[in-house]
Amino acid sequence: MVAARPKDDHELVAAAQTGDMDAFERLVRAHADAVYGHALRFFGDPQAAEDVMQEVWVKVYRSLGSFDERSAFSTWLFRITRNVCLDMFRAGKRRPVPVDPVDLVAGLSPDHAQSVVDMAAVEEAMRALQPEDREALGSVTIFGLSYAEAAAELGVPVGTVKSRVFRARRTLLSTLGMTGGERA
Amino acid sequence: MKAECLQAHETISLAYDGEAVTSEDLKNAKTHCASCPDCAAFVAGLARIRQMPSPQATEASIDRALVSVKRVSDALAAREAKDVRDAADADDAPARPRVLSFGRTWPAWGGWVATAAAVVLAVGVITANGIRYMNAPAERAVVQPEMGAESSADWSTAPAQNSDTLSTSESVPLGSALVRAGAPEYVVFQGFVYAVDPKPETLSASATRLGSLPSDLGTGQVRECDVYAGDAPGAIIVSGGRTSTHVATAIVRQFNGASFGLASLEITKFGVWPQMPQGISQPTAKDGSPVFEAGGKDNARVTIYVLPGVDAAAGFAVAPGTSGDDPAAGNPNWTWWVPLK
Ligand SMILES: [Zn+2]
Repeated sequence: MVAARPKDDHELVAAAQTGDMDAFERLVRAHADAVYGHALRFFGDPQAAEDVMQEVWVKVYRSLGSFDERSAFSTWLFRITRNVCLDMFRAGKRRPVPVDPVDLVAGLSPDHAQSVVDMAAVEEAMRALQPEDREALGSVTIFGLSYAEAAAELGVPVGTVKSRVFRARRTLLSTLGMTGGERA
Repeated sequence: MKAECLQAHETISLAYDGEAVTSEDLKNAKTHCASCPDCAAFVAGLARIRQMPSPQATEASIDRALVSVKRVSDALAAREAKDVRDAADADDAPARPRVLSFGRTWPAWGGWVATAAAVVLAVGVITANGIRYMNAPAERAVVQPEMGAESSADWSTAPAQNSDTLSTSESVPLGSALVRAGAPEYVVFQGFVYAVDPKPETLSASATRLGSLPSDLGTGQVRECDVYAGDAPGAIIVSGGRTSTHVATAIVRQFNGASFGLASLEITKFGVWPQMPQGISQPTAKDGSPVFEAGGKDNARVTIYVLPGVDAAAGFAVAPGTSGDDPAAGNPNWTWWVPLK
């Protein structure tokens, strides 16, 4: 997944802040996969991911006027998305459930059958990661944060992000049997 | 795992994420991987995972988010307009601060406002074998219920905490005189009241999504529920999640050979009676004055009340106290009925 480029974000955010809702919609579409993906991996439930999407974008809309771009939009969005997921979890509104591969493949054409099988396996393996490892990996690979940005958002040293991301990758590959015989 | 393998994995993982690695470390890692099968497998695995598509947001989830934002925007615009009015009314009072620091230029909403409008239109088309809502804007302008946008905004950000305030609206206070416990399980969709069948229903994969509505579905926790086209005429399917999907049927009455649906402001909790749409107030007298005047009787001898000078075909009211077999039975308030076609 490739996050929207910061330059695009900057222009869209500036336009949306002046009330251009076309720009706001483009911002939503550019980052919808990141928000949805994070929530889906957090809860393992498409319905919960939809709830998170709704709450996140309403929050973004409400606070966009005060977003000062001291951080990148994607960093800010990661913070909001992470907090919404944690709030829903803490409030007991949503509980993580085992991921259903069928939900992950819905809407894809048969051409993608093979990659869908792989994707389902990857998503299963993602769900099996330690939450803090998965969160660190997602902040970097889904939201495109640097390790330093992720460290600031997660409130841990950069070295911790580094080891979490690394551990997440090794566990992922080990679970998927892609480590060439060596077990992490 | 050997130390040089671990070092190679780490360097390559960092390089993949665009983190700074020295060219010497990278060179060493590459050299090692070329001669170490385990590390070659690690690199191949990383590359494969990277090529894999990540979960993609469904169109429905994007639409739902955009519609929610639109509702918040509506609510903020309404509040801001009211602030301006209030400030104008009270010359000496300072204007309240603006709610949002960026404006809402309606024409610029473009694409997805049109999409939202299309969803509204689709209701008329999809339920063609059942209810088709009258599509005459000039007439509907008089009678079409307006949703309590302000309360929707509150729901959007804090479903649980603010749910008690959801049914209120500025023009129609939700006081004890208007609301009594014991109303049927009602939801409101597109301004029309539907009675929810408590029997759980299974949602078919091919169901056509019409939109969403806020309801607690009897749980006490208001949330946005998905609405799908129902099979039967005048029926919709309301889904608050996999385990709470129900059929809901429009409350309809006949007059002069035409069908009229019970209209109401938003009802977000079971047990709340329908309220007059915005702009139409409850009469103070039993004869409907000063809001209504008698406009005839239906086949069951129930008096139909109309807005002065407006034909009943555009909508009418029914007084409380109708008999048990009337569609308005039990309502402690006057009810408002909007033509369906
Ligand atoms: Zn090695």
